[in-house]
Amino acid sequence: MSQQPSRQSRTVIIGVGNELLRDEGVGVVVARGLRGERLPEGVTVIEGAVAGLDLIFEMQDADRAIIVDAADMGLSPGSIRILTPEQLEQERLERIASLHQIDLLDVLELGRMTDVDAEVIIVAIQPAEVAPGAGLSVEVGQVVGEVMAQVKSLL
Amino acid sequence: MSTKCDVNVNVEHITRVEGHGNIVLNVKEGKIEELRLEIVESPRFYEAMLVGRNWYEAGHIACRICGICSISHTTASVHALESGLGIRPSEQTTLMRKLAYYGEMLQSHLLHCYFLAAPDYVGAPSVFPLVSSHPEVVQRALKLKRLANDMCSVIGGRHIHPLSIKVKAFPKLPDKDAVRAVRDRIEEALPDFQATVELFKSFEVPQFERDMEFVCLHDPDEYAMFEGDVIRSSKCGDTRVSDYKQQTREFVVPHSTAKHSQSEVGPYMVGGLARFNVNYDQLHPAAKEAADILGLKPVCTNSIHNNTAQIVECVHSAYTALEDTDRLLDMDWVEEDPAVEAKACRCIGATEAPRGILFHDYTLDDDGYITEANVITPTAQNLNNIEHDMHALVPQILGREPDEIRLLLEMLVRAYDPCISCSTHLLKVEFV
Repeated sequence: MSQQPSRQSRTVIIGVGNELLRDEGVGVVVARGLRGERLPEGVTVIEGAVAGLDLIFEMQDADRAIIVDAADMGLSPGSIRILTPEQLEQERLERIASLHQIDLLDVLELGRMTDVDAEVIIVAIQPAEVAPGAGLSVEVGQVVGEVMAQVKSLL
Repeated sequence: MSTKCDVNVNVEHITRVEGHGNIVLNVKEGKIEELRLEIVESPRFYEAMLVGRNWYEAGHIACRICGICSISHTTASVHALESGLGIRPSEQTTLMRKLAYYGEMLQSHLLHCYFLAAPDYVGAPSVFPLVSSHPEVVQRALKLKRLANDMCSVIGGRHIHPLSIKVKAFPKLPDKDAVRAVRDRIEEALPDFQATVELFKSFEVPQFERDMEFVCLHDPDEYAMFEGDVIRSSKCGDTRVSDYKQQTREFVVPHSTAKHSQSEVGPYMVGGLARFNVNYDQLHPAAKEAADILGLKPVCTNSIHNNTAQIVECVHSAYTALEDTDRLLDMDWVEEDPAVEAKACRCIGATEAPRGILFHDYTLDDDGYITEANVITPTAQNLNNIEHDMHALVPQILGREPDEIRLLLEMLVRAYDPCISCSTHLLKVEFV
């Protein structure tokens, strides 16, 4: 379990996705990169991977949750968008893999309907290749640094 | 509706179970022409991955078979290796492992009963409608699930795929203050477990009976979950864990990428209901009281009551974890030497995973490398029994509407809490 900072304002950055489906795991790669960075006090980074329902518990103690994930937005590979859960839902953007059968939007909805009141921001990355295999595509691998910078700009 | 009718039910895939399985039912003029539980998940070849690896990697690799019962796979792996290498862990180590183990039992049972099975009893397609209709139920479920996660992470370093549960001893001891804090939360949550019992008491479980064999571990000193001395069958008596293949005889069927199992007398059931039926006398008194409230008595031959047995086991796990952790906290913890000398040996071990008895079996060479591996999961053992249940159930419900037949078949399968991904790790089959 992650150690919770004692400051009142807490932000959790959660990278989700399946690293065994190449670009689907970009959120986890970004989270891993951010764990090695110097971040402001009160920021926790979680490699959420395919944790599903348990992500709620990571958000329960936070004021803000920044979720980094691959999403098919019909854009060129490596494109980055900052979205709210409402935008993600309205635009019917498709996450590619399920979090062990529980979709990210379902997790967010369940969290919202119970006692999670964290502001949720989704950093979505357009994948180039989602297929069994290890490692990111060249196009998505090239933007990992940019995604990390955008996440840090949100802090 | 006439019992001489035609019925076609094709559930592809069954929802609210782990993994991918289909139900196929084809009835012509009241006669069953096709009825099977198809397992269509890809095989995962975990045993092949273990071969060639060193003994100390076994637990870490094998626990990836499942994200729900990873501590059980770690436990079975550790039990196997300790048995083969002649190691007896200390009481301190055993009690620490048990806290994580009971945490996993609660994680898994709570997830299944609240999120996967409960919607069937209130006529909801999933847990989501319950959030608005029964918010206190979902909040209680999440609270208990979080507690269960923390019971695992305080010992294992994280709530799945434990880092510190190793052969012989913990390489790093848990934080005693954190263990104490979790212990206090278990005590505070006891009323929530009682409320869980009351909730499930209000659900009407469908009527169904079939005489069947129940199999689980048995221990003379406690309700066998974490470990047991022997495999006990309600029909075939006791078998040593090292002779598990006498109890569990695997075979291949064309419609399943997971093997099926049978004993010398036929299919058998493992899991919460099997443990309840076989080891009822050793349940914690609070769990027996819960069983009374729920109206569950041994021997119960309605496999849909596996859900009910899981609720009883939640109570047992919470109270037992509390008492075990009190014993653990009363001890002066000592750092133990985790060094192990490998040797050529056969390593066979078992534990009761949430879904039933789980076997790990490795053969090591002189340098401790694994030359053979066999893992038999509870779901793989249950699949044959589920199909026999389906064949017994369908004639009893043929006069009902197809949607009701479909729902009852789904409820039957879901009651076993199948973990299909676990069950498909081992296939050695030639496709024709």
